[in-house]
Amino acid sequence: MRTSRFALLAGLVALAACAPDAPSEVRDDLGRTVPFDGAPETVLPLAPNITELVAEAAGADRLAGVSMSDSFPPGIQSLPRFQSLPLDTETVVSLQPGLAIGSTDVNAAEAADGLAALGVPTYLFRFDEVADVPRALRTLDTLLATSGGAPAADAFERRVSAVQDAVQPYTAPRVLLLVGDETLYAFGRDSYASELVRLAGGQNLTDVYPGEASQPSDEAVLEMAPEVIVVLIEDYDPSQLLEEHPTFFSLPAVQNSRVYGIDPDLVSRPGPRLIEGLERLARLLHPEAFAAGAA
Amino acid sequence: MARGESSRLGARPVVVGIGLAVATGLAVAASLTWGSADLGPGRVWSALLGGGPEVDRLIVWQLRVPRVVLALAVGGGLAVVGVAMQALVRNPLAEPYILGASSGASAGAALFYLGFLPAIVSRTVSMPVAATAGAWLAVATVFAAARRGPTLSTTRLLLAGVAMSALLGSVTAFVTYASPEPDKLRAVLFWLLGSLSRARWETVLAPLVVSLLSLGGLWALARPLDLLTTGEEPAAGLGVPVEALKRTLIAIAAVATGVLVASAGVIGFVGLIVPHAVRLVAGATHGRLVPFAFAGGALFLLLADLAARTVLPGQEVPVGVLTAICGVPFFLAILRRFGSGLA
Repeated sequence: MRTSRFALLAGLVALAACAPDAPSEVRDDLGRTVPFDGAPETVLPLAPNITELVAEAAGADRLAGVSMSDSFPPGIQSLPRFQSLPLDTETVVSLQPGLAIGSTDVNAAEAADGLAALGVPTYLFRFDEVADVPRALRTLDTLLATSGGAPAADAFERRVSAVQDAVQPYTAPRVLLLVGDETLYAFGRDSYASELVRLAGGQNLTDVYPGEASQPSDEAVLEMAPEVIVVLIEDYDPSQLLEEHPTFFSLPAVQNSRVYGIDPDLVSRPGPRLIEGLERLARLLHPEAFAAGAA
Repeated sequence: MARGESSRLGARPVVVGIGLAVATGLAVAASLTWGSADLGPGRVWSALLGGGPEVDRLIVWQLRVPRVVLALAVGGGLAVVGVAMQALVRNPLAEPYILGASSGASAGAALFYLGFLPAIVSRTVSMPVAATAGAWLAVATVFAAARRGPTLSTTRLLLAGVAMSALLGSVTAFVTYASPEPDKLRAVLFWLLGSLSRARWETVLAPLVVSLLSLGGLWALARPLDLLTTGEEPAAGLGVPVEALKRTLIAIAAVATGVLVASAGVIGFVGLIVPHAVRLVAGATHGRLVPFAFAGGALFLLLADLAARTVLPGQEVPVGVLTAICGVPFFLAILRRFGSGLA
């Protein structure tokens, strides 16, 4: 898998170098064939994290439009909007992007094929692990014939390593990362969020569940006895968790006032700001590692 | 029914009654013992008696016991409301949905939950209030549409209820679809498919009281209900105050459905299937039908919830999904075994 991606990159680079105008094709993360006739003038991101990745790699002026749920970076406010779920095909086609780029966690392959049939080549990224974010940044350099992605990817990887080094000496606490506080939606062991908790120096309790997502019961949480609870809600008020789940007063995380909130966009969007999410998570799990004077 | 019901059924109702009691006892024990946390009977027993580690006591007393009570209350309540609806419209397909109460409650709840309505007091209070208000509004509208001068037309009531359900179902779907908070959608869906996971001591009281009052009220009305099922005119001829009875049944159904949907989401199927199953097995006289339907509904939902909590380890399935999956084969089997007594 890895080698084929490198081969693809090498091929793309070679292609861009020797035959900039020869029509050809590329393969996306699903192995779909995407016609590629040189870097397009404008691209259309079909998911918010793709918007952020494109803006990082090539600048917001290369965007033909953004979806209704996009909120970042600030430079996108004046762009045309379209609905991404379900995909507003008419608007997408009318914006005439040279390429549409989606993410498999938001966009279905069928929707992408539908766009392609209407003459909008559509490339899908897949984000299974944290390393897929820098990889996507580098791929975007090739797709958009730009050069902002590689340095951004390098910086991303350096910051991941820095976090790992900082938390490495400390014991990993038992962490419960929740998407919502009312019905306990959480991630599963196959999600990049589970890896994010590990990288931040925590033990992700919902790794006992297979797949991308899980929904632990109150009983299961009482048994897991998390030492830290992180809810993907900005400025989260811990008393809300107790209002929804009164029995949680007995959990170590609640007893030791270690229930925190994080801006969900920093964790649930696999984009360039995921590193900010990782750094915040690490600071919450290991304040001792990031205190002034810590090595 | 060609022959007298008592002679046809013989001792069967007694057997059914004893069977329901034993099965409910076993189901309660199983529900307290099994769950996502693997405690085992010994630890559950000592926790019930107030011993053992604090976590065990929390799981048993604050999570499992209230949940068992809620399952029994909601299942029993939905089943007797189904009995009331079937007597009211004399249509075997009637159930709590028929007045639009279920869809009204879920529309109100979804509107509040997704941030379209302001919160009063706290979220735990506001959601049931919004759901009950939605149920009331829906029923009042259906009631107004079905009135024709002083009388209430059953056919119009059915049609208005079905239309209202369709409208409010669409409202729920739309607010869910257009919600500014996309991450809440799965939670709403879970709630709309029914779930007992919100059971706590403070939230089980209202459904328990409402269910028991519905049971008592309908049981007291057993004789008029028997007469009503023979037809409105014959019943009126025998001195039953038909219009007043119909309004009473509507009021019971509206309040009970609103409160039950608010506490456990929309759990379909119980109000439809359980009364029919009881009729097939234990006869159609309301003096027996009402209490047996309550007991059967309570047992049925308790078993469905037990499956919901244990089928995926450590995770929950919406109980409304399981009421259909567990209920249909059971009902078809009963229909095949005892169906000869039906028309």
